[in-house]
Amino acid sequence: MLNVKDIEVAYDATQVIFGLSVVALPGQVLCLLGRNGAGKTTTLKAIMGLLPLRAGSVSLDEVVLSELAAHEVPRCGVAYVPQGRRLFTEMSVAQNMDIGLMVSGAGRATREKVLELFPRLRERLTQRADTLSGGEQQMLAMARALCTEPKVLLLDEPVEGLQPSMIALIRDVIIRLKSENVAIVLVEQQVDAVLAIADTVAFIEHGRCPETMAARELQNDASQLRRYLGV
Amino acid sequence: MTPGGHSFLSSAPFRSVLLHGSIVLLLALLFGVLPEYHSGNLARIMVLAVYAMGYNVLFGYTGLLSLGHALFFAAGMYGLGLTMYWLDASPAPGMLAGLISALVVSAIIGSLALRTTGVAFMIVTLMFAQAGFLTILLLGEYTRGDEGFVLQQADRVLFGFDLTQPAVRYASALMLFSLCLALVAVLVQSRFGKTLVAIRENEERARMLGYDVLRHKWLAVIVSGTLSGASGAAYALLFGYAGATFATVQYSIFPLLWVLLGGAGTTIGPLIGTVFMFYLIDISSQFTSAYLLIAGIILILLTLFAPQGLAGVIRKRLIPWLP
Repeated sequence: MLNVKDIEVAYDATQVIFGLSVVALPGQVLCLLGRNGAGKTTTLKAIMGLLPLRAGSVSLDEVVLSELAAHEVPRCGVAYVPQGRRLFTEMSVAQNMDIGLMVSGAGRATREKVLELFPRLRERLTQRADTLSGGEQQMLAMARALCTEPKVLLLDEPVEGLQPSMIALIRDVIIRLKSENVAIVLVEQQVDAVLAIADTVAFIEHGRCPETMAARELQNDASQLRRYLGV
Repeated sequence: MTPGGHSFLSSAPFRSVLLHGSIVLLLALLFGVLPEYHSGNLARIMVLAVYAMGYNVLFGYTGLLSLGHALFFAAGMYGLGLTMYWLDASPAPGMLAGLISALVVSAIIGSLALRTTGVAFMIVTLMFAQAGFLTILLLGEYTRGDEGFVLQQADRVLFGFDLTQPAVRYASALMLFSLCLALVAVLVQSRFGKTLVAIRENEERARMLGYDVLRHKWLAVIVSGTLSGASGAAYALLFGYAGATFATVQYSIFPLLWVLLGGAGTTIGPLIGTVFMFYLIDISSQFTSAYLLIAGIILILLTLFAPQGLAGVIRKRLIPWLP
């Protein structure tokens, strides 16, 4: 269980997260929903240790992640797929995955498992990453993250700008990971992309999380969506 | 290109041995073929190519541009030179002193300079190298400053071989070169080497995946600096002279040019670049005293039309698996 507790984060003098708390459970999708600038991505970066906490803590099961150096967090089982994907563009698909595999010391079994999730990547193993289509790049970014065998997967707007068939593919992978007991934290702005697969929705507003509710409830009652997203 | 990732990866070591083995074999055969003037040049080139290979580990594979590698070259050169000149050490312990000196200097400089990135890193390394150069002048009593000192022929005997003999010198240069080439070839295929490339490509991403970026960069500076030092020490030993000129900024720029021309981030690029630049100056100076003008124009043209260097072009057009 990933436990984010009362965290406060600032970029230099400007505080952007004010005592935010969320919990991500294994085998469930937690969706952080909010407007631009609400602090969703900042929350993910704080979990990864890329931004220092002013207060509060982040822990995964017994391990207090917020006391570790940034490069140690992924080794504890948290993987992050940032917005814009950020591949090693000059490397091949296989090399990108190798970099992920080397982190966990995982072998062929993991590689096979990940390639099974993304069969399209298997066809393109020797291709340079920057020659892939947007959707394939997103797949590779996720594949590389999964090569580290994470317990928690953080996804920042994974379907942004992708065509519907690609969105469906990525959604299937998320559902598959759920069944394998990975805890997934999903940042989204588009409600439709999320409601079908999320278990819990945490609304983020002005660096706080004023309300968390089950996605099921939200489908029946859209008033909260209007309030936090204006849709 | 072979299909499928695994057959490609598993054959990479074989190809690497084949490629680098052939180069070493070619260099060995060239000694029998070339006239003495050119084989003498080639001995010098091989030693300097080791310097370029060291530079390439940091610049080509890790993506850190240093303008102060002359300091590491000089650390090796003076580490060997001073112990042989003042302590009457024989070449083997002298070489060891050169290596240790370069290793220690690069470990210290690395731990300080890596606090900066980008342009600041370039400036800081440049400044450290200038400080090193000035220190050599300041300690002129021992280093004999600009004038430098000559290592006597009688002292330059390694395991009974007279290193001033052209054949022995060529063989020694080739051995050092082969050893370092093998080392770099193994390094870039290793986990460590792959991690360096990942850092070069996207430092933040590498950190997010769980790599200690700073530690890897520091180790890269040490490997790079020690190889440069090995070259400096061998240069003093084989050519019998150590002087402050080798610590000037010019000698920091040379490996950058060699690597850029030959192909940054390739194992054979440094050798190609060093040969190319050496003979570019050698040949153009036969025709005109304005040889630097010719060299400069050709460098500009190459940078314009082959920005990845000569080995980069080979990799792009002919051998995509070039390590």
